[in-house]
Amino acid sequence: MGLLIASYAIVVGAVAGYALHLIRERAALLRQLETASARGDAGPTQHGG
Amino acid sequence: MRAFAAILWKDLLVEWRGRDRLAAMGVFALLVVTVLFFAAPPGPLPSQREHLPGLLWVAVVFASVLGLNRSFALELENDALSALALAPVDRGWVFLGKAMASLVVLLVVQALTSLVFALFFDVDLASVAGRYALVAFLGALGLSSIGTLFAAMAVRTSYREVMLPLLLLPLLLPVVLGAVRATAGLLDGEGLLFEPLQLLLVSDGVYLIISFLGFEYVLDE
Amino acid sequence: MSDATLPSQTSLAGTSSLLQRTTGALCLLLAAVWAIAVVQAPVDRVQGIVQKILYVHPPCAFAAYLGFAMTAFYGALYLWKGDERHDQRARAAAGVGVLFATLLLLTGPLWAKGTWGKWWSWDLRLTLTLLLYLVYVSYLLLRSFTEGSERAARFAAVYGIAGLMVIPLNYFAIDLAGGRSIHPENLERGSLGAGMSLPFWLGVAVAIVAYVHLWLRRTEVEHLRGLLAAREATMAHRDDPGGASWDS
Repeated sequence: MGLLIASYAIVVGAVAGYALHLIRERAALLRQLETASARGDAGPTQHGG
Repeated sequence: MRAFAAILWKDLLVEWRGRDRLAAMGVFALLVVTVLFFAAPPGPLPSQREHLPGLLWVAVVFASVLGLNRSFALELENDALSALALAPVDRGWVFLGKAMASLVVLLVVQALTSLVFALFFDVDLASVAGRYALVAFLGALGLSSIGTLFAAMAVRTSYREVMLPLLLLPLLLPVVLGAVRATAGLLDGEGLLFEPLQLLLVSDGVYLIISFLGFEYVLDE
Repeated sequence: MSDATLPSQTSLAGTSSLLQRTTGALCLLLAAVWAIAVVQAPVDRVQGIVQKILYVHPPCAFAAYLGFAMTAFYGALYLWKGDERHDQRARAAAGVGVLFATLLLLTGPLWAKGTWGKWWSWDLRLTLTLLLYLVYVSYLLLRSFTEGSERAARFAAVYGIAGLMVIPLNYFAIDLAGGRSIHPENLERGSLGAGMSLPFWLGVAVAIVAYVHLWLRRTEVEHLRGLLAAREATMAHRDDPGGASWDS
């Protein structure tokens, strides 16, 4: 019985956990992209671009 | 077509000139067989000798990986990889040239290893020599084709000495198992079994096609 | 230069968030039905309750093999078209696939321990799974250690295709070596007992939909990473044009 529960727990847990992980990563990447665009617009460059 | 011959000739010439390296590989094969002998000593009973074909092919595969590891080493050392890639010839021929050169080297390594193995483990390869040579050839063919493809990849990675076996070994199973089963059949007096031979032939065919076509995408400057 | 449209507002690399939400919802729905079916399924007379791992273990296999097929497929598309998005899909397919392969290799021994009493045996299916896993891992290592990301994509594509071709060969190879012994017989031959088909096939459906959902999400992440890397490369180049490019 323990083996059975362990199996289901591992599978469901891993799938759900990975989905959450991907959701968080997506959010983090989107934030980074936003700051990157902002920096790109606002920041001066050495060569006066 | 001439490119094929040229590359084949060049590689073989390099091998011949560096034939002390072949001696080193021979010693390596000897060492591997020795270690295996102490790790899994054979006995007189058939049940104690069942694993011998497997051990033989383990020794062959290890020695072969050593040989394949340096199939692009010379080009790498001399910055010739781009030259090879930019040459105005069909890359398929480049592949064939390199693969055939490796095949020759592997066959020599196999012969050496088999000889030493037969001596140490008291295996009668002589009576089945012809058919064993066929099995060995088919094994070497599979090894040299994907071995050359992956050697070309490995030479562009970090940890390239580890990368080649890492890429190669999971895909070698059909060839190795076919060869082991065929060799076992020969040694057991069953003669040349059809199924393992078929597996070897099909695997070799698949590997040759994949390597020939894939090489196009693997050789670059 | 400013980029007026942030990725969240447009459809990314063919991965619409609508598709993600649909598959996500479908997965949860199927999972609920599946859970009920599992609980209601009869207890196996021979193996006891541990046999119910049947509803979670083979489904992982479907997903793991599907994953590998998709890795090879998108790799081939990448080689043909050169479109980086195919490579992103291939990499996502491998990443999610290796997850399911890991789950397969974890649930298998759990089931084995519960029924045959030992954690592992070298029978056909287990060995094949282990080999698939090794090919996956080698694929991922190849990607990590190849110098140059475009080259890594190309090499990985070739390796993925080679790996896929080898799976049927491995099947025959292991069979030849006599590995057909202990593993529960092939289920298509109708050895599923009464009342077991529904939870089983529901489990397969859940696994496949879950796979697709995770793959869609992962593809989006890869795409975003690519955008970020490109953005940073452009800016680095602009601030210091003499610097090295990101793909050496």
